[in-house]
Amino acid sequence: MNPRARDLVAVVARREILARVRDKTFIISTAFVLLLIAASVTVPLLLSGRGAPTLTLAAAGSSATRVASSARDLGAAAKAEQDAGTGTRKVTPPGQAAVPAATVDLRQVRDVAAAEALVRSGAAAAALVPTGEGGLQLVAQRNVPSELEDLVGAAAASDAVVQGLAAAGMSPAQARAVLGNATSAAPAERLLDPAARDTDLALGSSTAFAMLFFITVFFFGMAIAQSVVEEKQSRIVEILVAAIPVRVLLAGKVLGNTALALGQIVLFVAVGLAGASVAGQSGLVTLLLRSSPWFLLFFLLGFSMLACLWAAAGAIAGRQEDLQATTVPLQILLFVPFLAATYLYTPGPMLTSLSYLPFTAPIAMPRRLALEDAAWWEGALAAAGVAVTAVLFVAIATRVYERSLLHAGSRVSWLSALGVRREVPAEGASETSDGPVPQGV
Amino acid sequence: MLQLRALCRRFGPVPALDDVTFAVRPGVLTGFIGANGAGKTTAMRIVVGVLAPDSGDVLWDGAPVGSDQRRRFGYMPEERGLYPRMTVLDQLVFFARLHGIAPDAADRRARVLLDELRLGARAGDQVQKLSLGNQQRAQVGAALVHDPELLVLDEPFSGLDPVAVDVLAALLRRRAAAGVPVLFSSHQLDLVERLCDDIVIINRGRVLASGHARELRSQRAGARYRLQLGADAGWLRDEPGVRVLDVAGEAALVELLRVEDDQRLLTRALAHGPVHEFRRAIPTLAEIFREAVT
Repeated sequence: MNPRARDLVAVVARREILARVRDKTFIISTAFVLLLIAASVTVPLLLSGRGAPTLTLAAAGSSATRVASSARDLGAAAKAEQDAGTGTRKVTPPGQAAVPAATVDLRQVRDVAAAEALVRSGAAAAALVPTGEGGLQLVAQRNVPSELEDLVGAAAASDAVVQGLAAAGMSPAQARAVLGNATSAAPAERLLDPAARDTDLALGSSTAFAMLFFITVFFFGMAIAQSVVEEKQSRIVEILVAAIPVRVLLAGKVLGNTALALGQIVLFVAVGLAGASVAGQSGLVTLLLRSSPWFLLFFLLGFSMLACLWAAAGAIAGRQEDLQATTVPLQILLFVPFLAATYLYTPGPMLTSLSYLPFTAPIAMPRRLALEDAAWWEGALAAAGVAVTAVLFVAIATRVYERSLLHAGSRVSWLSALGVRREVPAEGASETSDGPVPQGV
Repeated sequence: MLQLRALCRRFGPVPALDDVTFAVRPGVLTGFIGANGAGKTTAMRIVVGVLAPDSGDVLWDGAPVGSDQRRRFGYMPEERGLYPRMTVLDQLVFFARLHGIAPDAADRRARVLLDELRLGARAGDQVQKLSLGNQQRAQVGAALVHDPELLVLDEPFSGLDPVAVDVLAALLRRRAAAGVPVLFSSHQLDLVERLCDDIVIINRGRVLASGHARELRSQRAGARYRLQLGADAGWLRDEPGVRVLDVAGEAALVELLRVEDDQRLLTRALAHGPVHEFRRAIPTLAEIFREAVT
């Protein structure tokens, strides 16, 4: 392509980009996805990792204070384990389920009235007070926070055991030792094939990548097809084709949209990365840094593979309404691989096959690479496969585009646009054409 | 100078152009007239390279037209269309850039042209917000913005109000005076007659007549004479060598069997009484057109 043709491609591409970025729907949908990404990176982390609540518990009387401080210790132990992130041992008091992690702020007060006053004023989430019959009561305004309920319940049960053993003649120290042994008696867990801590993150992020690929290709593809039909339907294409070669028009259109789509995806990934760093998820940051270059490479190749076909789908349509029909093969070509590659996520022969198939590779291969199921050369091989398919598709699409662009009025079938089937000329089809004069560039 | 030489093009079994040959001279406006489906649009699309001929050539200054030359042509298609959501100015700059004009120059030319088209105040408006007449002006602008060396306009005057017609006509005349060959098609024969020096008449894909409009008219005039006498013209019916086409009282339209007999007829008429008018009847373009296509 000579320098002037390159300039012309740039002029067409620039117009495509400006037309898109000035489009309100485009701006709003981009902002929406950005918000979605930022939220999905930060919100779940806030809910789980740093989710142990801090609760104030008021306690009146000696037994209540004893049980409350024991509840505080249990919550702190559970929180310590959760923060360590091993997840292989849980704090399990005898006869109890694992207790929730929580920071319990203990407030000792003089009497029941003072405890209740604290709860009423909202300074304490609940109060542990003695009842007339020598038992304990957990008092709250409307409901008892479930963490406190579990922790106090477990602490009270343990306390009852200690008191019972003491009454049976065991010294308090011995009784506590028995209880301590019982608490640590829950067997530790050992996994023969431990899931990497990153696996969930890898699956989650590669699913997000798959969604992004699917949505972006679909919406940009539709936009390309619509812009071709717009030019065709408004007959502006006659002026365009009189001024520049058809291939230059197609190249500018596809390159402009590809550049914009890639820019949008890079922005999405960058926001994901920034969000993960802000949320302090170093695991996710490392994963994204490792896997997103692959994703971007496959996105670029996969998008290029399909973009020209969308332009061809626009060229064979006569009106915007025809796009529903002419883009069906493309929607299938996009949606079926997306479904297959989304539901087959566990490494195995199926996922490996999908990762080499050009249509599914842009989704399946980045996933395998994120899961560390594929070596770098496998990624390179699959990328080359997509690139070769892209070259082939560009050639086919260019042919269809050139043959149908100036065909005004009715819809052209894919087959006749490819020259596979001979189109029977319609009666009085004086505007029908077999394409413009071939123009050397 | 643009020449179309022996252009043929068929659509399926229908011949749209059959051995079409004519020239478009620089410095003048050439009107391209013909009924619907006569082949005007097909011929123009072949000239600008939107359509390929089955055979025949399009020549520019004697040499076959290539894509580089075509890029310096200006074309306004019959079916109007611009990007509806782009502003008028952006649109013209875009088309100028497509014709290889640098960004600054493109912007400058677009603004000058919009003023010339009296559309300067609407430069920043989206095309879809303009009235149809103004959209048409913008469309003309798209064809002219790169200062083309040839103008090919398909029905540029259709849909314009009389003021807009005058603005466009003046604009085309200025381009023609600057040496640009201008070819435009039209159904409005009176307009073509008023504006054009040259005409091309096409019917069912064949050129019936082409050349200088006045010469064509006098060629077609034949031996028809219009007489305005001082007395009843009925005697003409009995005159040998004269075929009476129309007589109404003292006025008559006759056709001489031999054109050399005109002086003899005048002498005879003077012998019958006063002769107020005796002139060769030059047909209007509309008459020539009607005669040619029927």
